[in-house]
Amino acid sequence: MKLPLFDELKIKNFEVESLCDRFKRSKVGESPYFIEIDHADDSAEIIISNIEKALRTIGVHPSIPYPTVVITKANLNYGGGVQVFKNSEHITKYFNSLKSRRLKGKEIGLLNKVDALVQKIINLDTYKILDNFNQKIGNQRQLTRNIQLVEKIDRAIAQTREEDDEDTYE
Amino acid sequence: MSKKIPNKLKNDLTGFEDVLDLVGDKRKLGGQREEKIGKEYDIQSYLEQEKKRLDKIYSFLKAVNDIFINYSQINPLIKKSQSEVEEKTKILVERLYMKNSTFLKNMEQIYDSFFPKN
Repeated sequence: MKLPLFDELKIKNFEVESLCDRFKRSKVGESPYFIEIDHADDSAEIIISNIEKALRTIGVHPSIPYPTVVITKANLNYGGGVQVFKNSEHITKYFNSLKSRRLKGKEIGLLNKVDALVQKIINLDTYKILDNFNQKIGNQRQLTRNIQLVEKIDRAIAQTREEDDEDTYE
Repeated sequence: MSKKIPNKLKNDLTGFEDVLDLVGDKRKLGGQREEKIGKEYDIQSYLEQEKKRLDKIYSFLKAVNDIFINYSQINPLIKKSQSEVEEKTKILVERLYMKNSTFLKNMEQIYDSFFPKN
């Protein structure tokens, strides 16, 4: 069992199936990882979407419980769930602040508890829960926006009507 | 950096130099020890923070899941909002099509500008 600190995941084959195998072997999701990509803009975007597909296939969320991030210098139009950074210095410092060393008894006990919690979170279907939540909350948000828009137009009409009435009196 | 002592006070401090040196060394030693203790407990505090963070994530996900499965209020709320939108749109349209409404006047103006009366 190792400390949950950022570690590099070196990958040569970026096809979905081999990515799935690699992620399962490295236990992605149980510790934070970063993947460096040196490819050009278009292929980098395909690779990142492949990473996202592979993570979804094995049921590991790209940010929960631990982030799996991509570092690339390519200019992307990507808006998916995987976090993309230009440089390794930009990744979250929280998981990058310590140097690993031999652990003491109390620390091992804590690490066991952390590991048990990680397993509990992984066993929940994070994708399903969050997709359901986002979809339903999104619907409600859209409806509230519609109500606000209709109310705004209604107020504007009432105001112009009052102004017209004042003009006719004069 | 050590502060410069004014010449007037130097005479008062004669005989205390050794004691003052000891005080300085003690401070230095204390700082080093604190730093060492900080390094010893950094992983423990990190793991404690991590445990709290994961606990919060787990309770959030579990609460969201339980609420959606057992006590979902979202669908009735969506239905309520939909009926509210429909009602308000109906009132709005009625207002727009009232006789001599500004909207109708403006529409009339636009229509007339395309088909001028001879």
